[in-house]
Amino acid sequence: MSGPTPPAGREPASPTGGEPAPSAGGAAHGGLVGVVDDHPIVSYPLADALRLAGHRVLEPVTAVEALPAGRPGDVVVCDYSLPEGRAGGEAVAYLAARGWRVLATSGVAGGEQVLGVIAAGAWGYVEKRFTTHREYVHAVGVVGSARRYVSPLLAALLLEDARTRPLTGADLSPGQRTALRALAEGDSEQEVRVALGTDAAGLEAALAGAFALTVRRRRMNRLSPRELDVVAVVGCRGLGLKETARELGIRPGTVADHLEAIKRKYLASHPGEKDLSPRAAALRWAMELRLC
Amino acid sequence: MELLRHDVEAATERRMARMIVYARAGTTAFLVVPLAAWDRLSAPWAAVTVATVAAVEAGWFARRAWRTGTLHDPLLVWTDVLVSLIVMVVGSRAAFPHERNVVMTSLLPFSLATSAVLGFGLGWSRRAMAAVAVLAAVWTASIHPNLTQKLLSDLLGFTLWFLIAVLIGRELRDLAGQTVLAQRLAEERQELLADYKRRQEAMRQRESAHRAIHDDLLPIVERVAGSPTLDPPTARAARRAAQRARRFITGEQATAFADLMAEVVESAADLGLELTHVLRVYDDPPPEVGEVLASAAREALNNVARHAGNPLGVHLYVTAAGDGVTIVVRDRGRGFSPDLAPRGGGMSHSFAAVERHGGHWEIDSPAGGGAKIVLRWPGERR
Repeated sequence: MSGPTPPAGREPASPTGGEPAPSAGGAAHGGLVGVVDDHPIVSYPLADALRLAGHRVLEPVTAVEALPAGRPGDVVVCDYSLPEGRAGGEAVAYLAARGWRVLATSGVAGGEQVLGVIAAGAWGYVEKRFTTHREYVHAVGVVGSARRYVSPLLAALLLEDARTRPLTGADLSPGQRTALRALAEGDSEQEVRVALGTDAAGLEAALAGAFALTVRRRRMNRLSPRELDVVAVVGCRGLGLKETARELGIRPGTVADHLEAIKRKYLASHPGEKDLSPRAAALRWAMELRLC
Repeated sequence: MELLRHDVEAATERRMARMIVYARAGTTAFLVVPLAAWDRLSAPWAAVTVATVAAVEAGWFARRAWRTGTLHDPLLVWTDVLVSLIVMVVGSRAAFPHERNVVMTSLLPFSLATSAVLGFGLGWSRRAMAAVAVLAAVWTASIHPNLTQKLLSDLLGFTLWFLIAVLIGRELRDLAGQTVLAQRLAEERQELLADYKRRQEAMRQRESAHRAIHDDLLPIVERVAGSPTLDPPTARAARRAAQRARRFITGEQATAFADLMAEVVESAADLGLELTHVLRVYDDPPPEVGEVLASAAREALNNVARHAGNPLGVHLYVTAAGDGVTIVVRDRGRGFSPDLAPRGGGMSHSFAAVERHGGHWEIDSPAGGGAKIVLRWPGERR
């Protein structure tokens, strides 16, 4: 079937020049590895370390837009702060939509931002460190084999997310909490599996479920279309309850209820924000969502 | 803002008071009309008295209402009612009984204005309605015995003038209230916007400071810190500097206990430990407990550095919340079995201090190798 010439229509960006082998040996997985970081001083040594571990690594780029589309199994290590093009959660969502499994990394992202990239579809998060690339190599291997990489920090943040944004329905199961707690305390995946009495697939299902919950927590705090209407009228035009009610054809009491929900969602999605009047929350949303 | 509220609503009150002043003055002029038929009056001096009293009252009314600028003035309202009743009772005596209707027709506008005063001044209240009823009753009694169909329209007049005044007063005051509300909302919005812009500006400045550190400083410092050719003290200093910078940029959890534990993390670099850490502080323990826990954590790390051979993957986990503090020091070095845990020296000393403060500790040898030291302080009993 396959002749001596490589089949046409493939991405030209192949690191070794040849057709990608169906399976790579050693710890490396079959796919390509991309590195997006605005600092060559960071990205090139990382790429070298990954190559050394047997991965096939693309030339590092400084913007997500510079990467070709990913193919199943391809992993990209993506920095959080990218001055060129998309950055943060937006960059992760873009890469995920282009077929990459994203391993997010940063030395400066706060907890909220880390959870934000997970909600945007990242498969894991690695805290940038300057002394070793060991964690990156391990994490890329994990994500390459279609498993989530949960660092101790990420595990702690996922637990923290459940604490600050509890879901009314099904939240983290006791098993998931135990697993995350153990990971946060520094237990290895092997140890967590033993403690939970589950196999790799079971643990992966638990972690994937925990990731899905971070997405749900954020979706829960998204404004409904009606709330957006109220935000636009109250936040942008500064109308009172009665005028807003007249404008939207609803009762003033309903507007007040919407405003309460708007405030609740603002506070829930902006940890650290304390007391805020509903009208102030509407204005903040309006500015944040650029509705005015 | 309060001044504004005062301005708009007071101005409306003042205008309403002036409207009534004009009505009071205008209707007083009608009291002169009966004097034109002097010869046909049974008691012309009664008519003169009524006109004089009414004129004096109208003058007093105007001055007072103009000065105070409000009709919410019981003395003003009740004086007007009283004078109106006097005008009815005394004025009606000026005419012969069968001609009272004629004289009273001239007195009607003055009396109706009192209904309006009640409507504006007292609004929709029992007292006001009772006063209108009294006006109507005294009016009827004054006209007696010259009762005709016109009486019905007179009584309707008292009622309607009152109602109209109540309604107009309400509309005007509503309008003022809405204007005040709109202005208040606009001001509030201005304040919120200004506050938002201030925050945005602060955030922008912080971001640009962070960006400068993140983009220009950190990569160099970290690269230096990781350089194998560097002498150990400089490398250590560089690592500490990098950690401080990161902590500054992430700006998280700047509590006393978090700072204390961050120092423990930094000092671990001095021990030559390659430490990963998770530090989540929601609520600080009391300062003395925090000190004791930090010392114990430091001791645990010291112990790892001393006894665990070439420890790999040393991990410090710290979480502090309302329900207590948990510190886990995990290493994957040689490990030591719990019965080999040193009983004397610094370690047991600082660990004993944890127990004295109501906490406990344990050393475990997990299946994965290495050791796991858990320090737990259960929080304050409440």
